[in-house]
Amino acid sequence: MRALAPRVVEGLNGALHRLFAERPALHLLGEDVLDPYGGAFKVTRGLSTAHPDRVLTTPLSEAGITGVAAGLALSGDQVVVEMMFGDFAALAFDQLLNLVSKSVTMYGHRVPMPVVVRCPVGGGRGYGPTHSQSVQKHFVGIPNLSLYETTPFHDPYLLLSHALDHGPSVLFEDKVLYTRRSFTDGVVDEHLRYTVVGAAPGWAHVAPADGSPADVVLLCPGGVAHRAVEAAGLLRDRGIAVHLLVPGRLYPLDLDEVLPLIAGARLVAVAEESTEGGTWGAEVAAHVHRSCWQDLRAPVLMLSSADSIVPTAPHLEARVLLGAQRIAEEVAAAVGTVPGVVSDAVPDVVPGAVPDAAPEAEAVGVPVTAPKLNNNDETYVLLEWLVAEGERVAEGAPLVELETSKAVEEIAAPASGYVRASVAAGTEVPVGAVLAHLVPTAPAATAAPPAAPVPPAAQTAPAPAPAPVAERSRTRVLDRVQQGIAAVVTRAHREVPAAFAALEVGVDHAIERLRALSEETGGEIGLAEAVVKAVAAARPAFPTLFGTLVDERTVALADTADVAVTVDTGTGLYTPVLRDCANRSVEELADDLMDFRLKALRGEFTARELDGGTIGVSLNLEPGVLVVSPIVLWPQLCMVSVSGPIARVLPVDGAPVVTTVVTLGLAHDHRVVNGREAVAFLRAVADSLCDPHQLDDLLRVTPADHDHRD
Amino acid sequence: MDDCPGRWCPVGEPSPRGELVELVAAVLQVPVSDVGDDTGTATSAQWTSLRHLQIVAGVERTYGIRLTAGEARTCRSVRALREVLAEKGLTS
Repeated sequence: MRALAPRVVEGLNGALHRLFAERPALHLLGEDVLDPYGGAFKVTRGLSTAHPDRVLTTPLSEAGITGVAAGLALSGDQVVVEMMFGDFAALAFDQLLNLVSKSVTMYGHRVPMPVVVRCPVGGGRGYGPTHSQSVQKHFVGIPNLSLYETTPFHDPYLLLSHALDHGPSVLFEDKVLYTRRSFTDGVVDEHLRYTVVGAAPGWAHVAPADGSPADVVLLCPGGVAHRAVEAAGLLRDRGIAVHLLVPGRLYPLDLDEVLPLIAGARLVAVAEESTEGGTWGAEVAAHVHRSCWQDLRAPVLMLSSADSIVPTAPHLEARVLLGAQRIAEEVAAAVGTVPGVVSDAVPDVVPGAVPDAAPEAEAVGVPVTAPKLNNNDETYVLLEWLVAEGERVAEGAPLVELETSKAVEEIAAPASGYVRASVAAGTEVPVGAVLAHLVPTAPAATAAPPAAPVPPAAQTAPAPAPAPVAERSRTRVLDRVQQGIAAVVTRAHREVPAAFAALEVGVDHAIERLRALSEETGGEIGLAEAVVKAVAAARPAFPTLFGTLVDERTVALADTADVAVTVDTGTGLYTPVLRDCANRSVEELADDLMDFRLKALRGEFTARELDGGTIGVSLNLEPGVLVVSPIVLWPQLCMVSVSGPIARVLPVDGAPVVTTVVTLGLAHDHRVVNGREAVAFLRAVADSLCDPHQLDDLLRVTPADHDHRD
Repeated sequence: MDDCPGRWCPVGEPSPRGELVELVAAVLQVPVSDVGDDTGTATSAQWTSLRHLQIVAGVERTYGIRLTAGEARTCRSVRALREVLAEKGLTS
């Protein structure tokens, strides 16, 4: 029978005894540290009995104790200082900031400063606002001062000796952790294993025993480790594999050693008990952002306790302090916004989409999840498995088709393996849902794939939306395309304070010229293409209209005029993007526009074709359409509209003349574009269309011509 | 349109293959006798851009073919449609 692992407080006590035995120059200073009391948390129990001349009880003066420690160290001794509570380290801050840490380098040569200030920190014991704080963040970034924290994974002796040898140091000791048993032999529980990686004191890397790669990497100090382990269990139950990284030394950051582990994750989170603001976790997040930016799929999630004092009442304290449940909930919610990670933060839409209900055995292997394919849809329809259940698929090969509200996307296998599907064709699944696992060995008997809850959708037609409530005679469920439109326009209406301006422009000459051009080229070229070209040609003079709002003060300007055009052939509204319109001929644009119209008819758009517009053009050229006020396609800033040709009698040189006109409209984000600029832009577009010379220039633009003009 | 919500439906169903004129007439909503080889965007006000697409879709469905964007853009008359079909080995 294996002996119980020591509690952390026992480990610390044993470490001090060992260090005192090994280091004759070692002293310990603190309040009430002598036996029989042995310190407020009994970390020093027995020490004064064994070493009465080197364990000294002191008056209640943290500044005094720390100053004496610095003097001893400068005289060649080594010192462990015990703060009764870490909160009181504030009283020693001046000594630590201005004497202990500075003495290392202020004498012209590096002076050893083997001082460790031990600080019991954290809440959870009902000690109230001034005895429960996590004060680590106040010591981060002081030159020469190293910060350590006890963990259930690191040997306290190794931590203390490392802290002494790399002092001056502060060792933070979580008070609740004192009472918990250390983990030993690489085992956390039946699901998790750990190893210590990197140079001493290293990071504890806690990972699933089944070898699952990390969906989420959660970094936390030792005091939060048990809560993180519990949260990992809660997330495991939701199908999210969590790896933990727990450092022995908080600062300086030894993060480079574990960056490969972080870079492979789909979400990185940092959890700490302190209030947010200037924390160790913020340092970690900044470093991760700086070092792994290309690999991150989302910003580092930072979790802290509530912005509050730590209440004494247990039920209030529990609400303030960061707990396992909150870690799990916030990670799960964040995961729901990250491509390729399972989440139940987005509720299942129909029975049968069972990303979280897979038995544990099925979790073995590489999960295949529904990635985030656009900004509009929270769910997709699984159209078809391209590799049958139980068959082997190679990494990168097409595995499954997902239909968004506007496109069908092939999802490639993230790894090689045998397909074990969790979701049947025809099922509507939330973003992040586990669709299948790719297992390393062929199943003994091929199980039938899950039954489809709805009939498989036709590949060339928008799938019917599953009706959560039976359709009644007076209701109608919007199809998926219209649901996607609803999401886009709702967001635009909510987020874009749009204004609208309109201008009438005569197009007789343009129509005549386009008709001639159509005859010359043998292919139809109409006002739609001309308007798109005119809009694109205005970008150099009106760059702000071709941008996106980065924050309240910054607009990211586009390098090219990529124009999203409305296409509605009766199968729903699409806004595919005509790329680089200024540098391509009107014939090329006409070909692309026709291609889009055919794809709209056939329901064959890919997500890529619908993404990335820098401005929109709403084409409404049917005769009789007076004016159209479009909705800005967030995150774009502007959308042009063009109405149908209308015959008007207008005075020309004092005589009434029948003239064909269209109305150009511009919906613009008023945070960025004001009415004056909007009208000037419309005037420029109108001039390009009605001025014969400008129109000729527009219609014969070649890349070389444009470069010259631009 | 109300008969096929959310989907485009041609105005009337064209006859089986070989009936290009009937298809065009149905989409343009004109008598078959008004449709000839010269009927197209240049001669018919009814041949709008939307109906052009409907004609292309009808041709694809009736003849079991797919037109490229370039073909669809240049098929601006019944004659041009016949030529494209002929290039694909189909008679109309």
